Amino acid sequence: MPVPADNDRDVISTAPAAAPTSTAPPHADGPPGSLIDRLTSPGGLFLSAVMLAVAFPLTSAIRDPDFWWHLRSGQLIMQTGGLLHTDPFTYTATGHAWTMHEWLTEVLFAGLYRAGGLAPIVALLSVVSWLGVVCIFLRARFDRPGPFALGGGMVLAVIAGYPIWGPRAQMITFALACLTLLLTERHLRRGGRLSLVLIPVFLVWSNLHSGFLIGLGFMGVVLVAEALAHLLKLPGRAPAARVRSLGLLLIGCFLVSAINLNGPAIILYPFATQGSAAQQSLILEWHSPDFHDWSVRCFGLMLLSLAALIVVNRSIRLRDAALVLATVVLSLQSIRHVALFVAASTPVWITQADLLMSRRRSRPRRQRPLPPVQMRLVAWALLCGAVMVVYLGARLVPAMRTREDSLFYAQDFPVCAARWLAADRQPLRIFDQYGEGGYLADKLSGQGDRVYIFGDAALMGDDLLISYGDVESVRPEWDRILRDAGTDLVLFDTNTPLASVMVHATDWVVVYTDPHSIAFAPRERASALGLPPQPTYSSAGDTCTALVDTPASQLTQEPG
Amino acid sequence: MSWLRRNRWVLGAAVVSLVLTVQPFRDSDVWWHLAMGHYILAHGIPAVEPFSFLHASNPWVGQQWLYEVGLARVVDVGGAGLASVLMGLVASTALLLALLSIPEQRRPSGPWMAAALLLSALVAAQLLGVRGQVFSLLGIALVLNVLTRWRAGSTRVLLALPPLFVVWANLHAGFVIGLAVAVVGLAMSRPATRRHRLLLGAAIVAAGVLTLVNPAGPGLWSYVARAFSNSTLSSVVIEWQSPDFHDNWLRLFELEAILLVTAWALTGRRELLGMVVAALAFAAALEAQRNVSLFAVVAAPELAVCGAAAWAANRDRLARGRLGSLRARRGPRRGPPGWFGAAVLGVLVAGTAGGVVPQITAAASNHFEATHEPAAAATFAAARLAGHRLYTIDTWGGYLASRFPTGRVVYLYDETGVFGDAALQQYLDIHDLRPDWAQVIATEQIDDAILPATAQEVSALLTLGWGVDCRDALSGSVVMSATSGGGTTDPAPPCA
Repeated sequence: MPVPADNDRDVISTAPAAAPTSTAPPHADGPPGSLIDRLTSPGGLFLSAVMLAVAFPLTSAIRDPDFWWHLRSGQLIMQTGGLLHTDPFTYTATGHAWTMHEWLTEVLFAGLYRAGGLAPIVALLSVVSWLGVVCIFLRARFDRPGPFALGGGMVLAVIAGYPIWGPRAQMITFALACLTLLLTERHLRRGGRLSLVLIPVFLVWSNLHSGFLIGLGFMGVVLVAEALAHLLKLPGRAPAARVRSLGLLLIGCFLVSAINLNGPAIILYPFATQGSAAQQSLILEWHSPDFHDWSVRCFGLMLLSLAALIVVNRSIRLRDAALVLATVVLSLQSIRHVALFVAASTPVWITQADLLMSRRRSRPRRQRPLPPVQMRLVAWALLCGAVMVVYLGARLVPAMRTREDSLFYAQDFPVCAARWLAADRQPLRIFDQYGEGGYLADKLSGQGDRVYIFGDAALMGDDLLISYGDVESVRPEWDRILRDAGTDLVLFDTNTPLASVMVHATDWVVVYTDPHSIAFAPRERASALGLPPQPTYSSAGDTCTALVDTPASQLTQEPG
Repeated sequence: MSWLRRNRWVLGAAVVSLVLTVQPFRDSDVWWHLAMGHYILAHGIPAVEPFSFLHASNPWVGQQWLYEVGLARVVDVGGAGLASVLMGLVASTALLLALLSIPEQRRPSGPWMAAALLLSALVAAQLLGVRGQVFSLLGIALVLNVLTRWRAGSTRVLLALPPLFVVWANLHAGFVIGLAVAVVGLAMSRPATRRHRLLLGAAIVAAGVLTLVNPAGPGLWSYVARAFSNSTLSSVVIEWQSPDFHDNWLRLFELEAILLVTAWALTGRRELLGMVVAALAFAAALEAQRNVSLFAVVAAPELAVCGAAAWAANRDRLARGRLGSLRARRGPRRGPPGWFGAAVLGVLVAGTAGGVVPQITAAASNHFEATHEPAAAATFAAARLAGHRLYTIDTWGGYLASRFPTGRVVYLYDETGVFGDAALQQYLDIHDLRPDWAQVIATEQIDDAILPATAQEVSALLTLGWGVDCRDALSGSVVMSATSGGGTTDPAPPCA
């Protein structure tokens, strides 16, 4: 059986013989020899600027509502010296077994927080996200695309993923998925032992985030596609020996993933979320993309343009097509999977765009002589320095300096209500919003307060999620659910249906209010709870005073 | 006869598709269209919205008056079942015509055409049934046919465009999509002569001008512009929201799109016009799931042609691979005997009849109405709450309009372009329980409501001291009143 030679430069067609030629010509204006020449050529300057600029949308202050309970969990793990097997935060899921699938991330968060507050966590996750994008860039470069396609594709990709970016544990999975795809592709093209790095990667990854299954899934998709390509004798398939060794590598990665403080059961854990209708309907990021949102339309643009490029070129490797197909299906199902689409499909978009441009170009561009190397180095340093300065000044530093008690957080989390409750010495059972349970757990669990629900949906279980949804949606049995659970306090956002109804409910009384939150207690027990009085926020410079005094229309989402 | 023989597969598939396209009154808008049809027959087209006690900020446009009058006549003559059959026929005809818009020289074999038609029928089924949009699907299929013949050299066929659009503009506002398809056809095609292009351009202009021949005149166009630019619409009407791909039927839509892209990528027998129209329809469907049926219709011919061509082009490749050697070992396959085709056809027709007939009986229609609309609750309200203003959710508003066409006791229904943004926002104040919901209830002097028993408005109204007058277990609805008191839903008697 003929085995194709190293196909490092080839974009192999799955189209019939009548299709246009499937091999992308090496770029006439391709990168010159040395690293300095490559970096300081016009294309290199452009790509350097792009790869620094893509860090802008990847960086922000922490917005992920789950961050706070991850942080608290990490602190508890460090205090107790082991994983927690039951939930210490709620009064409703105390008997549920807890799989701490992100325990290592949580410990990392806790350690960094102890060292420097939120700032090092923001910095680390921004760098991790950026490294993921670098892996995409390196994978795209296997096909030697021109700088315009490469840079344009990278910009489009980070804009398409904008709804998802930000400092959160999921970015670790994004970066490691990009690394897995990079090493897998490199292995199929060049062989070698570098791909063995994936074994320790998966060992760590399975302890960092349950998304390691995505990495295994990507490898599996590539493996099946390559096996099919061999079965159909498609051109462009990787050598059979490399495919076989990829299969062994996959088995190895699968086995080391089971080496986890949670045990081999961690491998089944992610399926609990994928298979839960309650989680998929309650949690916003599991919803399908809403294409009325402009930030999601960029994803739509990338999706449609990728389809158009594939149709026009009629030339794609089977493994690339399989990855695109899998991630398109996932990302249309849940907006959170747009990150996976970006990870897997961006290099394909770049290759396809470059192929189209190569075909449209009637004659090769003339190689113009470059200016002296010193001048080019100065230009490169100035350009990169300018982008870095703007990035640091406008993005990273403000995001790192955003304090937990700042107005930025107070407008999205019950910062002031938590401060009010912190003055209360009596343990309370608090019915909270799903997305705010983690914040309240972080701030109040230390004094014995318990929340109804927080963001570990798998731990909460479908029954609890459904009950929560019934109360949040003010279904007829909302009051019974609250009372049966023994709720002392309902702390919810103002302007929500539940708050709007409870204001009129005669057997609940308002005990606290600020522009973000409102709290209700059962009328018959309100005085017995001994709650602190409603504070008056009037101190100049205080976050809660600013929240009360700032009209909603003037609140800004800018960190700092 | 030879035409029938040539197209027997696709005709058979169109007949089978009736199982999917003949549907009961599933779209809740049908009820207010029916009420409006009866109103027009009695009083003519109204100048202002006639059923609701809300102040509609825009005049009544009557953009579907012809459909509404026809629907009312058909229901009067043959009941809901007849309307279901006729609209099912229109939908299946639209799919059939879309497939027949494939030029003869590109037309694939019958099984491919039939498969594409049935897949598209499956994808579109959730958005078919008795609704004006089905006429727009038919109109688009007709436009595709006109374009095909024009590209084949016929100019006489262009004479069909102006009358088509005159009728279409009085049936459904989707005629703008038909005009857009024609314009795309003009831009993407390379006709033999400049005269050909000019004639199509002239026909499109004439068709566009003739859409003004409707009761609202140019107001129809401003109505369409308002409807498309209304950002509140997607908050109220699910059909205007992006598809939720957790739903299996939208997974089918996704599957059809993936198959189409795959077929396009694997074959050279593609036409720019078909690809552009299908791509635009796909983008529109991602924006609003109501356009999934539009995509299904325009994708069907592309899928048939390119699917068949892709299969033919790659069959040899498969045969060269290991799969081919496995097949070769099994030996050549024999075709089925001649009687087999006739038997299959007989089974399909019998199956179609068996699937359709039970849906169109009067008993089935009544049962569907009683289980999907608050029929018993409305009967209760008619007897006990005559003249009272009734709050209900938007999807039930149309049904109440048909039950209470006089007296202006109905709240809002899904003719959002007429009610305007202010009324929609006011509705959302109550429906989404915004902070001023109770104030809106008081301001509008609403003392009674017909609601789904599990609706959040029920809980909200109970906190205001409202009580449940009766409960209809069949439709899951309750009748509530401010005057009955109570604060609990438990002891409510049945509405019937």
